[in-house]
Amino acid sequence: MADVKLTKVVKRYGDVETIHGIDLDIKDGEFVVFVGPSGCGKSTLLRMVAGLEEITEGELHIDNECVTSVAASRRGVAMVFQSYALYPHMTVRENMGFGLKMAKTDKDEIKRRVDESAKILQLEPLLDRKPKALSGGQRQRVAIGRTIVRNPKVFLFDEPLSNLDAELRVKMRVEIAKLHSQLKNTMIYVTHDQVEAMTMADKIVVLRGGNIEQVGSPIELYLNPVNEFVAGFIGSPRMNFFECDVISQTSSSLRLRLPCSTEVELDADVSASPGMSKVKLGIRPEHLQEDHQGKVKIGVDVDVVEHLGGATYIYARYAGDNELIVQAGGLSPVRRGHHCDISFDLDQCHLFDCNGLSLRAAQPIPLQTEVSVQELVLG
Amino acid sequence: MKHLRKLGAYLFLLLIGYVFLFPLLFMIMSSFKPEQVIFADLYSIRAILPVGDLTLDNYRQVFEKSDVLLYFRNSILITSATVILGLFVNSLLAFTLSRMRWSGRKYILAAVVALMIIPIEAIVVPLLLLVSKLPTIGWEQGGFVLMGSWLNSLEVQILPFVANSFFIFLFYQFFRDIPKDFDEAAELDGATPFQIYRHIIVPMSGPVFATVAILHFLLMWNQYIWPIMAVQGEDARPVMPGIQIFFGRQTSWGEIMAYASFVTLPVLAVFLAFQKKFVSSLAGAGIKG
Amino acid sequence: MNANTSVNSSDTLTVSSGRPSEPQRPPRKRYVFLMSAPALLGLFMFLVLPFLMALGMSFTDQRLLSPNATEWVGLRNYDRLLNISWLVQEPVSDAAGNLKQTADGELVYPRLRSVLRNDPEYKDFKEYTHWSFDNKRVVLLAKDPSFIQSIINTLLFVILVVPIQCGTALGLALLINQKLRGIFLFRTVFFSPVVTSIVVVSIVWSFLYHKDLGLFNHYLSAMSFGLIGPVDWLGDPDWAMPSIVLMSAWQAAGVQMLIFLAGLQGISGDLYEAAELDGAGPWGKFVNVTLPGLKNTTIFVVISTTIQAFGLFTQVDVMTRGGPQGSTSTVMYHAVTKGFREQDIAYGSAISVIFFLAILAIALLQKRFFDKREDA
Repeated sequence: MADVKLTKVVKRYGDVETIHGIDLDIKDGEFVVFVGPSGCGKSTLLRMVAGLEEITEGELHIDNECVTSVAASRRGVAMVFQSYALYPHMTVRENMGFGLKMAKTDKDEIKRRVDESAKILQLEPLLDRKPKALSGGQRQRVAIGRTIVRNPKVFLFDEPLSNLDAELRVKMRVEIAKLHSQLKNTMIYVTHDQVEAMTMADKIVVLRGGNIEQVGSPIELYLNPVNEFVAGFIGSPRMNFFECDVISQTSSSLRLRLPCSTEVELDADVSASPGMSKVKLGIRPEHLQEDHQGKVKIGVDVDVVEHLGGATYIYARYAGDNELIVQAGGLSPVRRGHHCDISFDLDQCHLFDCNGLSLRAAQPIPLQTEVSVQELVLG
Repeated sequence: MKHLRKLGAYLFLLLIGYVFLFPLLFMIMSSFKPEQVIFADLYSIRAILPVGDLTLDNYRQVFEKSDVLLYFRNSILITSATVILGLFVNSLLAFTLSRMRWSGRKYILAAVVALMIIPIEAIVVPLLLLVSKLPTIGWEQGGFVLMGSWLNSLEVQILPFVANSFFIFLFYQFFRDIPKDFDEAAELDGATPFQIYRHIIVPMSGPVFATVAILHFLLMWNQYIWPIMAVQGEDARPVMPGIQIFFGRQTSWGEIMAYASFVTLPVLAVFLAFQKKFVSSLAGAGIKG
Repeated sequence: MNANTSVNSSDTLTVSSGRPSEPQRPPRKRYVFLMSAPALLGLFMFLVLPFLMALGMSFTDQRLLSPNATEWVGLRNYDRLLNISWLVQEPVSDAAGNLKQTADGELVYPRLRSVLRNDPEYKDFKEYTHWSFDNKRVVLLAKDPSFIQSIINTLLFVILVVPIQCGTALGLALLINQKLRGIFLFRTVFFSPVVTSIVVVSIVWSFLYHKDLGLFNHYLSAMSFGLIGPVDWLGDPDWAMPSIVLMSAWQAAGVQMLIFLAGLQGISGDLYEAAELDGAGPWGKFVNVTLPGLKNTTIFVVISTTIQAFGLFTQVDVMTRGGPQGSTSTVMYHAVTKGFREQDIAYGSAISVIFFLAILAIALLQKRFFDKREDA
């Protein structure tokens, strides 16, 4: 079993630096998700762990062993590729056993281990087929099966679900989560899809521009994003932001004027940043209510209403050009063109200074995270 | 109206097809006819039909008068050796160019592309001097000895034509378009670069290997300018210089046609067997080149 | 954990391992070297080296098999190949000042050979050709007149064969691009000459071109009701090269046809439909969709056909041996005659160098020409 430790890892192509000194500790058996927009370096980072990209500077330890310049095949890692990379000229069995064959493993042993992993993933009936004769989901399973055969210390997944349709993606998500609870190996999973990250991860690593923005459990990132980027990236639909003028500030609170001129007062950790004139207020769509139970009320003009059955997304304009999304109940009576009042609680607001850093004190994280993630994210 | 146009199209195609097929058919049919019959049939459609008293006399004469079987054997040896070595050597370089990262890769690739423009004609004369100075390793009295020059040997017709920049480029283009994930998956599986080549890339590249094999086969079987220079004696002579010398002797036309048919046979057989592959591979090679 | 921690620098990273050191596999570099060396060695030995040798030897008097030591001769070979001059001769007049005339009434000029021999400036020159006008005779001189003629013959071949071959190929490609049942059969037929060796084709066509028995003269006579007499296709200096052109275009057009066909099939059908909606007829579609769509294909076809045409050798060697009267001798034929048959490797190398430079120049010129046309 294996810890993974990255120390000041840097990637440079010629003069261009794409990864700027990453420090990260991954505990044995953790399911870690690297998430971020395209070009953030998440795939590069994964490939550096795999040994497919050279580590320009810094160190990588797997299972307390420095593997910075050890060949990929000797790091004890296995990877599921976005394209699956199943060899088209080999049967499923040959695909799964290729690594063992390269390691000159005994034929009977190969057969035994392939059969064993095939059983885990219910691939037995497919073993003699070629990849061409498999469906997308089956290929995905073979790609995973191939990694299991090698019995690696660490599993790596590079956007493994992005080639599947939406329905299958949800199904495979669950299968991978199950697999993790069954095998209990360390797994690193790269995706650009924050829903995947939220639902699967023990720990999420949010990356942007080759830097780590925040590391934490899904619920931690959801409740206490350290900056505007993480706040906007985690959660769906996206958090609403609008700029507010600062009227006055003490060391632990701010008095703000909302765009609609309403004045509010919030607790905020502003001792380090005196004399601010503007801050950004963030509020998640699911925390805006179309009834009037919240403390603060604002008036909005409704542009578009999307009825999803279980929930209703209301796209509205607030105080001029501030665009706003409200997640309301499934049977919301609001219609396009309406003017209506929306309310929210100040406790659920996020505040960011002009550099995008969070100004609010961290909220306590509920203990039963596994249950509440789904509830919080999906309403 | 539409049918009429279609009929017209077919008639036109048949006429053009006749023009393109006549010499080949005429050659084959005439090879089975006595001299008088060839001339008697020449001006009618009978010229390309297997009619009249067909005979194998022409072939018998050719085998008697010329050592055509030896030339044929030489051509087979030269062609197959070159093609097999070429497939291996050219695809290996293309593999390192397309699928491995190494310093100098770009320069080598540019050089290979630049070399494609040098036609063989531009170098045959100095190449002749070069090979005349190269020693061969022979087996004599129980030991290896260095012997005279490469001239008049089979290897002088093989080795210079194994590496070919155009074929390297064809391989390069095909390999380049195979997703890199396969190599990386294999690398994680512990395969060495050569194992990746052998177990992953080669099995996935059937089409380009077929293309290059076919083109190389054509090139080698029809070699002419080089063997007439580098091979004076009969022992290592291939078929094309052989038929040219036979033609120069002013023997009967029937025999010449028999000789011509005989040396065309292998290409024709390969062509008809792999007709579809042949055509698509050449077209593909052209477009990419 | 690790006893020796690695240093943070790309080139001094050391592997430190908790386990006892594992056997290291050979580094990638060795694989690159081993896998690329055979082909690179082949290309260098048999393409680059001969080419450099040609360059070097063209400044010497190297012979294929010669007891004499090779010497540097500077530009002598090039001078011999390319030096052209001319002189103007006055007609010979008798003592009375009247112009001498032959019995047929032609003017008499001084004997050229003695003129050249006596003038050191013209010592190595020979007559290439001459024109007369205004009672004067202009004589074009070259040190190797047959090379000059070979250049002109080669250019003539290229100028004739490139448009004929490419045009035929485009026509054939358009023909077999039709949606007709069994069209692939015709594709095979049109392509069959390509797989036939040019040596074999040349021999068979020699028969068809035969003056007395050949098919061409038979059809010619039949179609003209006997008015046009038999032409000695390969024996007449005026007809020998065009005859070779025709055969060469016929033999090789199949390759270009396939390339054009692939180009045609690469043009999106949407473009034709769009043109049709815009009211274009068949000709309009050909000019506005097909031709522009084939631009890159055409560049490739024309350049490759040109380069190939410059190397004309086999047909000439088999059919005419450069004759009659040198009318089919080409640059390559001359190079092989001099460099191999006459064993003057140095001279043959100089021809090879000129040949390569010409090909390079023409390839670059054609590319520029096509690029410009696109800008216009």
